[in-house]
Amino acid sequence: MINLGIGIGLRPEHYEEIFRTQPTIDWFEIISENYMVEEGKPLENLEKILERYPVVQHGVSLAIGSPDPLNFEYLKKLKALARKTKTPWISDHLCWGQLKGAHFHDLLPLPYTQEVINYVAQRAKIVQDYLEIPFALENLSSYVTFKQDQMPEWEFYSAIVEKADILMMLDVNNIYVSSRNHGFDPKDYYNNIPIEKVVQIHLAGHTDYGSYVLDTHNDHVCDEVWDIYAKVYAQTKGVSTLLEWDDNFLSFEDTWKEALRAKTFQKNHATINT
Amino acid sequence: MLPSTPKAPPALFELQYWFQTVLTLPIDENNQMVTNRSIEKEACYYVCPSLHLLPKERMGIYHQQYWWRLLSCLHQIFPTLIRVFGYIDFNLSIGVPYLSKYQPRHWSLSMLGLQMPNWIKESYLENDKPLILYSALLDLAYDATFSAPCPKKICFSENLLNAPLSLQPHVKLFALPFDLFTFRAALLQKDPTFWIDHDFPLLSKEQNYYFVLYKNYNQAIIHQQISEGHWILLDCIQKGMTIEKACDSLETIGGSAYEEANHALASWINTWILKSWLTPNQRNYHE
Repeated sequence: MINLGIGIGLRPEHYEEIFRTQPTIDWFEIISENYMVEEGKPLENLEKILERYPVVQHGVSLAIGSPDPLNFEYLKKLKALARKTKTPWISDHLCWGQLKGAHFHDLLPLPYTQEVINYVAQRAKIVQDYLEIPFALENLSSYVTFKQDQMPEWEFYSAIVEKADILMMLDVNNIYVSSRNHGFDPKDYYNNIPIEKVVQIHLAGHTDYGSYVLDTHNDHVCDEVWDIYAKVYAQTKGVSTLLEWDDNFLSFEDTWKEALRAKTFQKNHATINT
Repeated sequence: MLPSTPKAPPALFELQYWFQTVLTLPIDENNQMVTNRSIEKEACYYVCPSLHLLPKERMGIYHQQYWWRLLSCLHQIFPTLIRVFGYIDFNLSIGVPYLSKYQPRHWSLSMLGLQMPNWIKESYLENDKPLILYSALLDLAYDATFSAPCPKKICFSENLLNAPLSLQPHVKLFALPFDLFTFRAALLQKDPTFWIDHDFPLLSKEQNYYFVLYKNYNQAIIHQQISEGHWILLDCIQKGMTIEKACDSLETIGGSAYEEANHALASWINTWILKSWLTPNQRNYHE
């Protein structure tokens, strides 16, 4: 899969600066749902971005593990947007968030069972076939584990990706956050996933409340997460990397500087491959 | 033909059903769940403890996040209501009861506030109900105008008077028993917390007030006070009437509004075209 380089999550807070300065940046990731409209200002802004930059779609509302049937009206709009953006892949989260028509607008955790692997893998395969574009699922930051769990998260995640023949959108901050909340070693996570399935890596900041860590995307990437990134990236053949920042926004220029720090940690990869 | 989707395993559904009953329990001013249920006992059945947190405390993280995300979204959609109530009172008196009755049913958060006017009509019982209802409607209108497409310049044919028309999506009309636009503009100059211990701006109520809200070519959102006759014509056009039929309708009302329209119609039409308020309409007229 193509390596787009280093990108940033496109947020409205940065539109003015981006349109004014037209920065040199490898690519942007958009939240698909913000642009799944017929017309209007969001699409007008997206058109301007598409004139200059590659764009990858990342969704938050698919709710692949929900008990409700897949929403093909939603998928139709997602696919139409993909035609417009020419996104090389589409990602969403390995979660649920919808039940009996109610939407919870959150990325809720699934129990790690064989039954759920079968269920989610079937649905993920349907989604990928329908979209006719490579589809990737992202690992969550989670705050609970369930009594039903039969295996660790990385085993669950890997099994779904393999069984559905989809890709991994690996969030290394989420590995760190969940490792703190559930008490596992991040190495156990990234050393036990099919790394060749990783199409993209997410980086982000979080908030440490002492008794738990919350995935807030409102701060710089911490050293521990950079360390996980360096280790994961070194195992890949070089994959697209993206910084997410969703609150306590910095200027676009400073956000881009933070994202560019990834280059320092990619050196391991260069060393290994030369 | 769309593929059929598999049925969720019963154990998964049971867990998710329980999870959402906890998630959507109302939240109080101390960010705690409002319930008579023994969530501690229920959570121990489904959720493992962590090194530092009990099962109920772990569920509390999701519960808080659910409410904070949705309430924060409502704060953005309803800047006037937030200033009238303050954050805490808005959350407790409006946000939580509203979201409990009108649980989000759409994947897009942009739809989150659309049922607020209905909730206010049905469930808000205080004396200032008209102010609260119109404030909600006005906040939603600003939101819709902001997201609407840019004004589209359209060349109309010579028989404009008989052409079926409508208003472009960025144009919204308001007939109000008070000058809410001036009140809102003054409120929005200060943060919500400012108004907790300061008097509200003056709300003029001497007459009926007619406004058009629209987006200009620089994407700025403008409100313009207009006369009653001007508003009636635009309202008729919004419903799909031709200008000629709108004028006929105004004639049956008569009075000063009709007299004014007789003199000002050409100038108004010029404004509608210059500001791109009109659009051709293939729909039939709806009363």
